[in-house]
Amino acid sequence: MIVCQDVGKRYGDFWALRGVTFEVGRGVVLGVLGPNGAGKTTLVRILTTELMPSEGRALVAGFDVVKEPEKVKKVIAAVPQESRPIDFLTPYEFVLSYLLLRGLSLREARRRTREVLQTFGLWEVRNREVDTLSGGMKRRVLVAAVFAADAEVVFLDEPTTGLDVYSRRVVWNAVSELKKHGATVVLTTHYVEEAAALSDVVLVLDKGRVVDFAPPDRLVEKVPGRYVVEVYGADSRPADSKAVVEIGDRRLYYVEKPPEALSLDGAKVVVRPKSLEDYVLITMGAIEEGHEDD
Amino acid sequence: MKTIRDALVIAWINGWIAATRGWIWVIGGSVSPVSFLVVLAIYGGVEGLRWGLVGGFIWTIASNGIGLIGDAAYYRLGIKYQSMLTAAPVSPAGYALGLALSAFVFALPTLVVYLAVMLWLGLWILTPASLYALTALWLASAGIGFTLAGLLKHLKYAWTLPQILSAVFAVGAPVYYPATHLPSPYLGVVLPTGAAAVIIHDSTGLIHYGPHLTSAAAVALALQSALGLYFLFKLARWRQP
Repeated sequence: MIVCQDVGKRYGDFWALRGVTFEVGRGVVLGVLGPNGAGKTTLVRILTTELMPSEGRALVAGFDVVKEPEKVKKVIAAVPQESRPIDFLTPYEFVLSYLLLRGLSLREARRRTREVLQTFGLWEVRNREVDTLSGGMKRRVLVAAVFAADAEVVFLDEPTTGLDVYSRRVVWNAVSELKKHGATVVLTTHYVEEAAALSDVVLVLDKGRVVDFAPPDRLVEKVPGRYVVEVYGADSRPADSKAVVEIGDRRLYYVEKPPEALSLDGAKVVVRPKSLEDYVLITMGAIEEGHEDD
Repeated sequence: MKTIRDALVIAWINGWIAATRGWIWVIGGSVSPVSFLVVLAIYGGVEGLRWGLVGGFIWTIASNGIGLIGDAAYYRLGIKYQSMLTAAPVSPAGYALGLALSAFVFALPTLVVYLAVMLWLGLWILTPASLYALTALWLASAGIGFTLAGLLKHLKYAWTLPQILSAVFAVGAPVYYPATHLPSPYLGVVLPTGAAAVIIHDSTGLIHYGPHLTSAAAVALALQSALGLYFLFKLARWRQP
């Protein structure tokens, strides 16, 4: 459904993206992970035909994003990074107009708008101006519009940044539903647990290059040991520690077995199974919170 | 057909809904032309009022077209709505024309008031020549607005640029005064507002410029609107290089 072959984007002497090659099929959720400036948004903008690549070739649903943008646009839908619905419209008007712009008949657009607003818990506020809604509801309006489009490939660029736990899960449900309907979803996120929970396969980008491309569990397998002993405020390395990550006064020890006893006066200790977050910490260091603007 | 449909949908949300829900925007677009009108009426009496009405009519159309800078830049840079539409089967031409049409929707109430007062004063602006001038001016100013919006890198410029252009297009061009006040009346047709004004001043009988100047204005306006449309369709930033 999405094929990238050596895709690159250059701004002057700076390569925002280079040599990106991967392929994902139908009904797959592709998580795109990476720190600020990794090239996540650049990749999404190329695949959604908004940005011309400097090199390489990209196909979406079999159509070339450079040579056949009109065909690509018919099968995709996107929630861009930092996007917001038009504030003086109501959720009903926003979704309806988006569907009309996509070419649906008025009758069908009305039917889908009603259906999707009910699905996303927005029916009660359908006639309130977007301006008066909470941040979570605003984001849900955007995702609802894209959801109703019934596109083959859906791009969600950091759709849950800044959302409360409820709204975040509403978006997560939408991603799962899209997948169930056979859509391919490209999800860029700063939240590693989100990528782990939703993605079938994860594309890890750093400084515009592909660091890894594999299912989340395969990436987690690359982390040494089975457990993580996370210690804050003391240095007491467990005996069988295979690796350590230091973040200020916090140390993460990767071990095979959880230690039975640790003599740490006044230190805060958490023992947990290793996760995708640990893969990211070991591979790239901390992923900064915030927004990519590349 | 899809382009026209897209334009109508954009005009519905950005023009009709916005105007009916926020009258302040409609009033905002008419404030500058009305202030000129008042000053001219005070100092020029009925004759000043006639020049103020015709100038205000022209300027209301142009200012709403140029005012597209704010809408288009806000949708592109502020809320990324344009990016959402780029990833959808929406034509850039339909989007741009829709914004232009919504600008006209905003201008409509003001234009109706102007028309009523002009009729009362026995000034008939809806002649074929004037209608051509007004349509071409609408296209030219919308093209300028949409194109400039596409070149902006920061949203803050979208608020100041229209103010600068307003001054240049309304005062620099002979909109509220005869083109004969310029060193050469032909300088008046350099800007689309001036070219439209020359045609309308002549057509409404405010002043007779003669066939050479009005023909030059008609040709200049045709070129300016064609250029505006070209920029609107071809150079507007829909896909970044």
